[in-house]
Amino acid sequence: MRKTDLGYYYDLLTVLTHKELKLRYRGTLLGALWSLANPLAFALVLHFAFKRILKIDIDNYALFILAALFCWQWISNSLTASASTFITNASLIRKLYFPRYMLCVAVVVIDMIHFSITLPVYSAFRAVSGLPPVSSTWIVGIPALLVIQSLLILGGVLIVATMNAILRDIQQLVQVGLLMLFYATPILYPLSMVPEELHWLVLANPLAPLVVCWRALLLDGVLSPYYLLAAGYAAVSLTLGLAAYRRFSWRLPELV
Amino acid sequence: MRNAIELDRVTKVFHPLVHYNAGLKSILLHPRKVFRSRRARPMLAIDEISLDVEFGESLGILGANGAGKSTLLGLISGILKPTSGSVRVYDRTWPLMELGAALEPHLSGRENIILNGVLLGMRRREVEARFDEILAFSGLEPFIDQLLLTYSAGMQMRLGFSVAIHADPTILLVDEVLAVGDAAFRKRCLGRIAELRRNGVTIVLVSHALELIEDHCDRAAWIDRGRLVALGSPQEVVKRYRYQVGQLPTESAV
Repeated sequence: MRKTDLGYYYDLLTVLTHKELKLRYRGTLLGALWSLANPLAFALVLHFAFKRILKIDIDNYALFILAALFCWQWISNSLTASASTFITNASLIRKLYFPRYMLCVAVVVIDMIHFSITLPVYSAFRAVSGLPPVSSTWIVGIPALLVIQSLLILGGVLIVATMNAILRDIQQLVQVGLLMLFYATPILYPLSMVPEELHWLVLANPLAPLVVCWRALLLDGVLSPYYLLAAGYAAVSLTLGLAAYRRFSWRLPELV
Repeated sequence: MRNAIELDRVTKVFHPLVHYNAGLKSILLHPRKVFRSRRARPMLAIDEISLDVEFGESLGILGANGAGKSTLLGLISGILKPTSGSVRVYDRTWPLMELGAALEPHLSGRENIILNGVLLGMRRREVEARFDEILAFSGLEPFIDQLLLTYSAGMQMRLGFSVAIHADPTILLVDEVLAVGDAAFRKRCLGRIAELRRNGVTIVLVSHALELIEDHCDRAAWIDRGRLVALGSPQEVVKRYRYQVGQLPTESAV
């Protein structure tokens, strides 16, 4: 009997996630630790370049960077991986009838797991810098932002995965887009450094409110006023993602 | 008798270049050429086929390579969408089995059984409960913890087929799976297919092994270049097919 209950979707998600994780770290020694090494190395370089050389006037700059960088890694890794999701699973898609969007959900879940690993690491960095390792606001803020971010990214992943099956240029476009967005999003600098009259422009970037919220939460332990905007972007992204998927997914077995 | 599958004037057209494999650069530099190639001749894979399969019936599909047999199975399974016409499948609970199946080369045989079982619609705990049965049927015990890429084509097919027939199908779509199994496994498969038939499972079987269709099907359909050219008793259809492909002398010569 083909199952349609929630329990079945849970099983589907676990086996697909397990498969993706297995394939991603096939033949590596450190496995998932790489998801930690990557942003840490990046943060080290950024700290050196901006704090030591450009002498940016922000205290605890490494901590400041990491509060946004871990979240950025999740966005960037998911969107990059999504381009090949349907293509690398061509044999499953061509031969079995199952809800294919679950492959996209698996991509998001994998990077959410990786992101969750970075949170205790961030706490440790806080402790080393002389701050209390955790803040009481995290109990509310972290689950809320995890949900908002998952849905926001899922929308993007659905769009990129579906469109890239039709037009493989999307993959390259995503790389360029991510590079530009990295600087357009308040990661290296706080939103407060942006001139007031340009705030609307920065916040027009769907990723900006999310990153601002994460930094406020992780670094300062405060709940930023941008949760609603971030959730709004998540709703728009998911709506567009589902629309693209519903419109084009029937063609996937012919395209991949 | 109730119909399990109803195909009504089903047509499937494949567009060779919906892919734009030309890429953005060619689109910018040679837009006319790219978009003209986009209108390249579409491939008519299935041409207005109407066909009903009753519950508990087993239908054999035969025809030359590229005749549209696998496309037809893809349409019945829901993997492919018809360009026009309608495909109705009642009690949509089937696994589709194809040669080589949907297996993941970089996972072990054990992991592939779980993955495939769940993708075929079973709950994980159901697959785990039937694991020993599936493994015993496949006869792959010594290799089950090795990566699938070390398996031969025949072994992969055995694994996939073993999972599919343990998924409690009410409609089983079988695409030429028996071609690469060895004699012992083939015998076991045919025994299992006969058992499923007795239990009232609807079976659609694509095969080039004509005697298989004669022995294990209630009806046979002959597809040629996307058209249904004959539908009837397996002996009758197979005989006509054999004349056509020259395996038998023509009737006048007999």
